[in-house]
Amino acid sequence: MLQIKNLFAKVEDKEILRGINLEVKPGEVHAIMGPNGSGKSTLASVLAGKEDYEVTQGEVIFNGKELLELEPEDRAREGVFLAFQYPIAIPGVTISNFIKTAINEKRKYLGEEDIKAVDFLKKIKEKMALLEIDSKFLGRSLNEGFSGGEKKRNEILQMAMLEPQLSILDETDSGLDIDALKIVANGVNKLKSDQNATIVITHYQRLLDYIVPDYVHVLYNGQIVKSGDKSLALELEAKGYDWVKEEVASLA
Amino acid sequence: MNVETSFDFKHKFIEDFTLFDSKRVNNSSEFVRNLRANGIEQFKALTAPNRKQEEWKYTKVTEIINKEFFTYASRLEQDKIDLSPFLIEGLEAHLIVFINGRFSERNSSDLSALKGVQVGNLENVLQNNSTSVEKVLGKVADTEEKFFAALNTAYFEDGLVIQVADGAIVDKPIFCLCLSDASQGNLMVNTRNLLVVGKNAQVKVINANYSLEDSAFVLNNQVSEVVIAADAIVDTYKLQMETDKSYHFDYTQIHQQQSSKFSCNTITLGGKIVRNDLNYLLQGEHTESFLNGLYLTEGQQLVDNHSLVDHAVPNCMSDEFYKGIMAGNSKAVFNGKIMVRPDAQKTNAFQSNKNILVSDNATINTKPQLEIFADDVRCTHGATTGQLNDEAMFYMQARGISKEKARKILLQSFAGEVTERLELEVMRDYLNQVIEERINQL
Repeated sequence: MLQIKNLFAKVEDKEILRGINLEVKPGEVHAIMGPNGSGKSTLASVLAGKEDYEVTQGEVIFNGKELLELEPEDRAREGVFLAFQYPIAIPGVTISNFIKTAINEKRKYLGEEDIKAVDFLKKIKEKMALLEIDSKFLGRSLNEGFSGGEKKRNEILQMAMLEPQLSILDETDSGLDIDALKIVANGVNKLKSDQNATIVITHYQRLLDYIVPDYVHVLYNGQIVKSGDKSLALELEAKGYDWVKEEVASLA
Repeated sequence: MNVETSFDFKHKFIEDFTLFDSKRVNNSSEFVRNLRANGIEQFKALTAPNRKQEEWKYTKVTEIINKEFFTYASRLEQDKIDLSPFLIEGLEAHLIVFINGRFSERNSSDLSALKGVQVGNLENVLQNNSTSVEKVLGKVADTEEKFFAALNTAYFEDGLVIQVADGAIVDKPIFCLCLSDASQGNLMVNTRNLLVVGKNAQVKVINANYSLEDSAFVLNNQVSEVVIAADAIVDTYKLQMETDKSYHFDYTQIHQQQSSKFSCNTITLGGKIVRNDLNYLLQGEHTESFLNGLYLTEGQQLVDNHSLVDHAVPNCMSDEFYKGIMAGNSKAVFNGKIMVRPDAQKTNAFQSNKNILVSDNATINTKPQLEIFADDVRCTHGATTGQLNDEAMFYMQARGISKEKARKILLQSFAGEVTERLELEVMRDYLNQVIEERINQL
């Protein structure tokens, strides 16, 4: 589904990604961990198409297409979803209208009709129940005055409604208490299938107790320096990142 | 700045006045003649607005005062006109129509038997029941330092008069449609409006301005005098929707008495040069005053909103909220003055002006002006000007929404923060639709 090959990216002349290689297949969950400043969020932003980042080398293939050649909106319509670490507030745009617009933009791209109002309502109610979201939520302005937990749940609600093939969760656990974390993780797990894949970017292991990864990668200094299964996450939790850093240093 | 041409504009109307006034001697009361004479004296003493004057620093009127305008009244008011392009879907209202500043009975609703309110035209009121308006006409507006408003006082002939009785709740909004027809050449229209609302009465008034025919220019020069008695609740709308062959000047002076609530919602989508002077004088305690404004400009438009909220007494609340979207080479000016007099303790005054420039050539000059002479007050003000928020654009794109559509949604939601403050739901829906169409064209 996704192949990242030797990806280099910089922002304002500072090189942040320095040769990332990663392959994600349908049905898989990959966790990307790493200390602050290692390039985790940059990787997410580059995949989603944020303009501030300049890709200097490498390629990303998504379902056979050159992802980096696509506009951000077309990446989304092709099935890439980024759950933002810091979702943006847009006063005056209700959640309901926003999600409906996004769905219809995707449908238009795929040559489909707009979603019927009843179908939309039925679907969103179902997904809201899954994420334990109150129905009053729909009429609220997007992310305006939302608590941290509400913002993150709203991200996962959008994910549930847009049904992406590849979801990238950027520090979705940051700022969540344990109850909210469980609800969000439960939502993500229920949306999992053998057709779609998830990349979970996180600093801490805790989220991975609930969203169990097939692979864990350690990002450090813009490179994936270590990969393993879920036990790697536990090891990082117990020992911190210093040993990884030392390993990298001794190899250099 | 050409001083000679500004002299011409002024000179013409001073010269013409004698004839204008003498033609109306037989139909005018002494009261009106004195008022006109006073107006022309004030006009004589004033210099045409120029950019050396603080109040006109950013608003150049040279192209107006270089033109010759006539003040004749067209006979068009006799024609039955298709009003459908100017009506608001779903709005049930008492309709009163003015064409080139003159009342058009044929196009208006039957206003003769309304309950608790008299709606009519000034010319008629002055001829039949002048005393009822003499306490207001010329007494509320202060035209001494206002060039165009003084001209209005000298040349006014007609306008909208609304008098609401004490305790009356007017059943439907009063919708005043002001249409201009410049088919006979450049035209100056001086409309004088009066709104007098009795104690504990309630009314909603819409003043909508459109160009009917714009082969030449129209100088739509309006002065409104508003008196709101104690406990009254009044909600007013100004829709400024003329074409770019129109110059629109509006000076509205409001006197608000105790515990009354008055809202003025100014929506400016049209006009080549628009200048609003919206002044509130708070005379009684515990009043609530709202000033909402939205301006969407493009091309060569210039929209200047000046306002003054004069907190002359304690315990009043005022809330001013103006937003603008500027495209093309257009310009906007916001100057909001809040005056808190020494006695006006416990004043609560808010002011906000936010702008988005969607073109590199558009400009905004925004100036909040707070003059506070009392110590126990709460005043907040803020002004922002920016482009569209890149982070918000990316967030929407990342959800599959095209850049173009994201831009429209952001602009609509920006403008929507003003329309959501409007109390009349049909007006809100109507304007949201008009705004959406306008934004789609930007």
